[in-house]
Amino acid sequence: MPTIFTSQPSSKPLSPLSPLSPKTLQPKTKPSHHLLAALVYRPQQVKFESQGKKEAVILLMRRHWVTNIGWILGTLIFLFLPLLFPSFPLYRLLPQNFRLLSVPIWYLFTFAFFLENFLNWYFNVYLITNERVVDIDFYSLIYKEISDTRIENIQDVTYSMGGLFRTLFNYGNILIQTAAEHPVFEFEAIPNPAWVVQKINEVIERKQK
Amino acid sequence: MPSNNLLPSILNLNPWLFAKFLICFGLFIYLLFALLIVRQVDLMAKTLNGTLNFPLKTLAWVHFVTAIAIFLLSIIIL
Repeated sequence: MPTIFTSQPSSKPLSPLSPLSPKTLQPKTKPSHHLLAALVYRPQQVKFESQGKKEAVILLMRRHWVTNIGWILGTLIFLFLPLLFPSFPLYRLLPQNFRLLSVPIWYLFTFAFFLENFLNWYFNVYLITNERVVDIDFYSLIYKEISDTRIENIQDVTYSMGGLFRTLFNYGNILIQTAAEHPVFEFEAIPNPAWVVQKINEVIERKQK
Repeated sequence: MPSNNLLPSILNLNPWLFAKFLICFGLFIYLLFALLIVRQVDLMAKTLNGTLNFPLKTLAWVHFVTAIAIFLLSIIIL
């Protein structure tokens, strides 16, 4: 009878490659302290609006950089599009002074497109501190929403990762269920979600002690 | 009657002058949008204070100043 069908527990220690071994929960890519990193462990020189005096940021998370490919490619296309302007019949109908101004106006709009998308990625962050979970969202030019809950209110932390890109680049969604007024925090497209969940659980355990 | 002169004067209107008016008006609205971006970056930097705040504020201001320059250029050149 194969040993998997017996009820006797294995006496062998866990192999380092076992799914339960702590070594397999090391991040596949190291959390970086790079300025444009999507996952930063214990970031330095980062403060947020409602941060307490003794509150320290443990994790700073943004959407994985892969989610920015669309607008980055768009920006690159817009940068080179003025080279094709003379091939448009409407462009050739314009007087010289209009044609002269069309390129600076085009690049002004391209720059605004780039800046808005970058700001949207850079400032929409998820924070885990030693006291709270904070979700900072900027939905439009003048509307922001900051949700937070204390670590003690966290009831459940789960993550999901599916699809080709997410599996390839190791990013996924993290769902934090709380007993607070804001019952669910969803962190979208976070790099190394398994490692992040591990860190959140460590923070919870430390808080409970 | 003045209304008899209105229709011919509209029909004699230079279309490029009308286009210039539209472009200048559009760039003026864009100027307000650029100012809003400056305000937005300021608000964002206050919410999350990081190392890129100063470069981003600078970029927003450069964008706004460029928008002013292109607006003035459009009034002069077009």
